[in-house]
Amino acid sequence: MTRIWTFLSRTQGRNGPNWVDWLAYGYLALGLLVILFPVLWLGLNSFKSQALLEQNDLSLIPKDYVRLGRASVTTPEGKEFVLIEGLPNWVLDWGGLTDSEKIEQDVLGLVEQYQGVEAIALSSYLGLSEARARMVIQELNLDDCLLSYASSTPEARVACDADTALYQISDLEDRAAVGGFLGLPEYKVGKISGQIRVSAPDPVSGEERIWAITSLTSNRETIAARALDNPSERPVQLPISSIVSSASLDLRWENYIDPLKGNISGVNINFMQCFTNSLLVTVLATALTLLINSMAAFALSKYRFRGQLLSLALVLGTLMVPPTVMLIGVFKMINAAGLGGSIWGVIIPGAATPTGVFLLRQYMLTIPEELLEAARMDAASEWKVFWRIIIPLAMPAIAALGILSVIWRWNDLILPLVAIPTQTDAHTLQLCLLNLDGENINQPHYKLAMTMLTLIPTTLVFVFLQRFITTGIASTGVK
Amino acid sequence: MQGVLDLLYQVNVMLEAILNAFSSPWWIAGVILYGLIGIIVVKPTGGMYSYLMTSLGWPIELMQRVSGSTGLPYFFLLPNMLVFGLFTFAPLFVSGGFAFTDGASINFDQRELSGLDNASRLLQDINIDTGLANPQANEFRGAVSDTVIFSVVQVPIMILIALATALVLNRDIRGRAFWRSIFFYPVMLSPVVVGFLWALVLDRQGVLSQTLIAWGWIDSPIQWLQEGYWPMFWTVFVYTWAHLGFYMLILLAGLQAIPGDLYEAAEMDAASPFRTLIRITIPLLMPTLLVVFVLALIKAVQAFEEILALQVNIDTVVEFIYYTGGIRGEVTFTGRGVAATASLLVAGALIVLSLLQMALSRREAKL
Repeated sequence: MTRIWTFLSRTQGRNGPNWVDWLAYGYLALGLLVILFPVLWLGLNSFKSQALLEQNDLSLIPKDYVRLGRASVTTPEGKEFVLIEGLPNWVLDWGGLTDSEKIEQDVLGLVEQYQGVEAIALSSYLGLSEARARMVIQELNLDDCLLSYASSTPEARVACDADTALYQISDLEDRAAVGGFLGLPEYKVGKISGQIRVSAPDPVSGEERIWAITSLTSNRETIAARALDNPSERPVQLPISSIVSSASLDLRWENYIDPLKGNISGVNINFMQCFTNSLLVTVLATALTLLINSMAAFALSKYRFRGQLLSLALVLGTLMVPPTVMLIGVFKMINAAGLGGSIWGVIIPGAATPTGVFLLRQYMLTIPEELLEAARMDAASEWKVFWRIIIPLAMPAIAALGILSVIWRWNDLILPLVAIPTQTDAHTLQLCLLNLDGENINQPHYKLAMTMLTLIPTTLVFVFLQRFITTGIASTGVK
Repeated sequence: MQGVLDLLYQVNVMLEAILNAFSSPWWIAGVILYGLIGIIVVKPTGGMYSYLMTSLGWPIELMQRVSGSTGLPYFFLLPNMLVFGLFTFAPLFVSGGFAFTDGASINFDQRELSGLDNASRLLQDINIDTGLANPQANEFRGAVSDTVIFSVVQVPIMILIALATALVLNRDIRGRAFWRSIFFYPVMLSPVVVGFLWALVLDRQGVLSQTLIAWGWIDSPIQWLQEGYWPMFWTVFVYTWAHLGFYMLILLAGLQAIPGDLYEAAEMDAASPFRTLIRITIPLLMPTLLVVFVLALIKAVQAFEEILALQVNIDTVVEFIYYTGGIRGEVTFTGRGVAATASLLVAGALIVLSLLQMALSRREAKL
């Protein structure tokens, strides 16, 4: 510890750090916190389950609590609550699954593991009750009028004696299934909702018990809880400070996988397609940018011709009228050029960049004229001089521009907004992300994961290639 | 098995997206024709790079064979200038065309000349079409005032913080490259990501409200992005957070260009650090500061993307143009013309700012 301290507090020449040094390090630490903490928080939260995010869970690490399913089941004996332990995640997330995901689950196998009220609650929630009721009615040769009971008139209901029929069903689960199917109020089954399993002393007896609570965050000092060993007794107000919960690391990779498969319920966006479009735009546009910008820079740096100054002024003049402001005009021109609605409307209009031409020109000016002359002596054509000599020698600047271009294109929002506003199969990742926000706000887990996915490529480029970027920007002073 | 099928399906989605991009028959025919002529005319040889470059450049080769090397620079400039002309300069004139015509279409043969009607719809209190009050003018004024307030507040704050950061990083600091990249990192993030990231923190049920409630500082969640002066405050904050690193980098380059012997001389004279800052650093950094100031101002006037993603209750001019112009969503009879008029006004303001920059940097060159 002391060695680390001496290492950190070492300064040049003077004796010990002065207060300005302390201030400087404090400032940097604050900056680190303000800049990296939100990104870190986003990254870790993108692995949390939907339920956890909807409860506004603030913890940094994506831990999930041990969860229980709670449901209310009404039988002729009265209304009771059940707390079901050991349910897999897909049952607790059932409401957010798409139809194809629901089919993939082994629903029957799960319900068979439970008995009594628990099985009744589960089969009702997982949509098995109706089939079961129809089967029971047929097997026991009950009156067919039961099949249309729920939608029939009151007179028809009286004629079709449901109570007697139910009396004939001996099995409790079968009877509940039929009762629920008939829509009888004394066989009402509530939905299963996820609860957190905690332990705390009973506020009355002081004895340690297991409880189920809805959420750990509360504005008040106490939380309503039901006891696991007797869920139907009145909810008890537990003091928050007495609650002990156990949570384990729970990374939800499906937050990433589902959108990439285009498998989000209620949203018609396939993020794999968006990702491919973004990749295509980035790669093609960067290649095009490098080619035409270096050609222009070559002309502006290695030739003397009429209108050279004017051309340079025009290139730099484009900085003055950014397309951001001329949205309608750019929209018109993209459509007039026949590029509207496809990714080419994003690739081509942004391919000429004033920054790129300027950066490359400044670099090419330093390439000695003699090399070009020597090549021309050897009867090389001007095009050959360009790609054989200029491009290899200007590689450092071209690499810097290439990286900048990759980042501009990946992050670009305004051109896609103008060029492909409604054509969803051409949408880039940024547009898809923006649409995710508009279409469905109650799926925060997908939004977080896809935001993270969008951020990863530029972060990787930054981590490995940032030398080129920082020198590129510092030397031109334009973005 | 299921995994393999899934993977195949994903590959299929990717391939479809790629095919979709290249599916126009004209496109394919054009590329093949261009490549064929290239192969016939210049007979490329050699490795992949040389094969590609020779077959790409046949028009220039041909020009040189036909008319010598006099016209060649124009050919090298042509592709770049064509894109600039079509998508940067032409929109300026096209916007002019929209501003003085009426109609919902973007085709000029379906638009009618209307003189200054659009300017009146944008600026006057009474709507010339209905004779009633004109909400659009109020909206535009609101957008202009928000943009002006935003620019006037955000630019000086950001430059001050960027300068402070650059000064700190210019000191004899351990791990300078690391700290520099940390401060630069947000510049790499896309506006949508920045907006979503901070929306997460600032939403009604977001981290900030929740944390402050947990600490007992506030009783109920605050609508940071909707209520009172908070939207402006947070927009300035988020915008500064996202763009600070870029300006810091330019200022740092400026600071490192100041000759070190000036500081040695100041130390000889036992000048205090503060005095050194005021008398040496700031005056010598002034040219860079001016450039940074104008660049940041031009950027701030165009603020839009982060604000769109953040869904904050601030109206900027570009946002007004975007929504009024009917690019996405509702197209109205007057919308496009009005938006184009607003575009011209903002472009005028930006050109003035840019000319200011040029005048200032010319003075810098004399220094």
